[in-house]
Amino acid sequence: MAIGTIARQRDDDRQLAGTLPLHPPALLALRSLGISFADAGAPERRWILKDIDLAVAEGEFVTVMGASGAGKSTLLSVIAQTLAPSTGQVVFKDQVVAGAGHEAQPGCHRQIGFVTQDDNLLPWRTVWQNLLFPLTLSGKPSPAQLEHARQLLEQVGLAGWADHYPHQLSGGMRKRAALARTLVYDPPVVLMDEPFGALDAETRAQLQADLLRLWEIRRKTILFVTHDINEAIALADRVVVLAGSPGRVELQRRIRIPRPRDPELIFKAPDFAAHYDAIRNCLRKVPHP
Amino acid sequence: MRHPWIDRTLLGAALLAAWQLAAQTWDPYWISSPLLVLERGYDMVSTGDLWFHARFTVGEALGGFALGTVPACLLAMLLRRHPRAEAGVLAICGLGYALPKTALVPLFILWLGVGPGAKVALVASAVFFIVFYSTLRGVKAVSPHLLMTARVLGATESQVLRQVVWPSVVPYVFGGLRVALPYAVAGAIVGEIISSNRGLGYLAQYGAMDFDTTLIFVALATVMSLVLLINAGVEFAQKRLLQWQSEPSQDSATTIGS
Amino acid sequence: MTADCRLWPSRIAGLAIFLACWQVAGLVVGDYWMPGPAQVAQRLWAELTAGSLLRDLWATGRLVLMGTLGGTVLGIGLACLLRLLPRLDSMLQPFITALMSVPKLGLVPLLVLWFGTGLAPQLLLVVLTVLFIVFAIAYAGLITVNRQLLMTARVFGASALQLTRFIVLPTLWPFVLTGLEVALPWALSAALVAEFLSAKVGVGHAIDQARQVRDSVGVFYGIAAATAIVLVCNAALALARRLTLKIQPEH
Repeated sequence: MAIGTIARQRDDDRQLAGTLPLHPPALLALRSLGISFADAGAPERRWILKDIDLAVAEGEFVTVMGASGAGKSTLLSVIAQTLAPSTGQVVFKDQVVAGAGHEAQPGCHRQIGFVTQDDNLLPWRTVWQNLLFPLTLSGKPSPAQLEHARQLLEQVGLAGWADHYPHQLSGGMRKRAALARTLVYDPPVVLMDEPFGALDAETRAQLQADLLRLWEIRRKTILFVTHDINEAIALADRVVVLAGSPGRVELQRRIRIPRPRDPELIFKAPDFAAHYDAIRNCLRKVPHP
Repeated sequence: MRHPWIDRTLLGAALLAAWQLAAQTWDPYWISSPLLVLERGYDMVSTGDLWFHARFTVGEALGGFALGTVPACLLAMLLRRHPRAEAGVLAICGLGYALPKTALVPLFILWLGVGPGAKVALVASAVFFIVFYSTLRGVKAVSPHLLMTARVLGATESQVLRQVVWPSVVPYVFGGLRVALPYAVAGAIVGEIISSNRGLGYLAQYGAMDFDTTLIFVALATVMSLVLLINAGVEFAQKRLLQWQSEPSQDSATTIGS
Repeated sequence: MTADCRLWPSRIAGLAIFLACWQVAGLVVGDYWMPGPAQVAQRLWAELTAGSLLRDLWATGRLVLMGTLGGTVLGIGLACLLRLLPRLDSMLQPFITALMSVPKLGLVPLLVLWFGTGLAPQLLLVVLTVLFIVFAIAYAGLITVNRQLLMTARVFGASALQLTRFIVLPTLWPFVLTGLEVALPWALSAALVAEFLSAKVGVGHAIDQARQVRDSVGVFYGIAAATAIVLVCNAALALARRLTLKIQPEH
């Protein structure tokens, strides 16, 4: 590697380790986050995640990886505030929004979007009605919001499908509808839990490209959970690997491959191999929980 | 979490205590009380009165059950290879099923008088349709491979019915019986309430006419116990006879109490 | 579909044969025991023009409708309550099984004793009958509510009321329809029994009146009227099902 890249990588590592301030400053920070469950009949609580320290800058695309059961989905649930952490805090825009002892209050500020593996569209409503659903929860949508929704529908490529029902759409189209729905109320942070996992390779590639394209238009802060190392490197500014039992942040790696990127051809990028090896070794070396 | 039966026993005890208290503070005339009911129940059991009436109710229910089940099974099985006859029969049965059976009570009383006959007829008419539809479903679900094998081996229709269709259909019949059970007892009770001079329904009605709330409760409690018992009995019989079979899936619509 | 269409002639033939047998049986056994379909039809027409058919249908129909409405609301409410409070649910299970083992029609004497004759005991009987049926079906239906949908809506900021209105109730609707289809014949039966014992109008009352004066044509006429009510309600429910369940959720 050239001297410049080595230096940059060292800076990255120091930034991620917390010795250099994060540029730009963190929008979302997790401090000493821990999540445990009490198993029925077990004397001690079972810790899923422990001592998670993570800072995400505004407009950053972070992918989260880890073996099954390492707590990735649980982490997202805590950030989405559908689950309360057992220790530590979630800090959003310098305010503590969730912490041990805080009651879980999902969606109270409508600042967070969540896209899951199942598209979770309401089957008894049309695509358009589904799209407007988050807005209707807080009253009648304003004309500006309606216009925004219409734009989103076009941007995800579903312009002619507004009056169709979800069961009439293909898996990929439903996924795009779900994405549009999540963006309709303009949350600054979007969480995505293996959203493309259930799709075939070609649709997945298409959706990855669409997601990146959307992201270029509206720079959301994204936390994206995936199993796929290729996907992780292709999409992210930074890859976070959780490993161990209880899960900890085992590796953070800044991906400096220039954008715009083509997810299908990401393996051709010069740094790809180094990133891939580092991540794979990290995933491999720690035994499965 | 505590074992659920602890909570349930506590709740049951609390309810009984509240009932007893209410009866003692106000008038046991209208609502009776647990003690009165127990006392009267014990009385009636020792004099044999309760069993005398219960016998009639059970007899009517079981008699109607048998009278309804046998033709229903036979008809369903006979229609196996005659789709057009089946369509015709189903059209008639659709009407029959829609007909509210209690509307038939006065007719049966007109025809068969005030004795057990009318009640048996009522129960049979209710049970027939349920078991018929159930058995028909079972007949349609018989494995075509088994049927083909039997035919290849040269079995006649009656042999096929007896040796291949019937064993496959039995779980469906039982399913129908389980569903029809509450109808059977309800039918007997209703018939007795409307016009009878024997049976648990009659006791309840007599209690109402005589302003004897305790009697009504004793009768109802006995009916409840009977239904639970018969239900348990059928379940037990089903498990024993069908140890080698898995129960056909029933949607929730078919497992309702009356 | 075509196989189904082929069967229509058989269906009509079946009904025609049924009517023919009925007429023949009537001739054989005599008018008193079995009046023929022609006579019953005649009586139906007579009562219709005299206005009493409509009056009776209205009385019974109103009772059935109001009772079904009340029973459905209470049944759904109880199912929701028990699903929300699992501890209460587990505690009440044996009591509910016990209550369901009592044939609701057996409660008529008790209700008449407490509330006398008139609309109250009749209505209460229908409500109780429908309540347990709808409860059982709604209770089962509530399990099928998609938890992921609920979570997604919560992240969107939906309140508990909004969750119920936008997700739980639409999921429950097909089950409610099934519940109504099952409960309706029962509700009518309950209404009829209540009318036998303590009413001055209604189809049930008409049937029992006819029986008491040994008017077998009248009895048959009443039975036909009662069956008509059930058929109309079934048709209405089938229509409702077709109109409101155009979309197929992946259940």
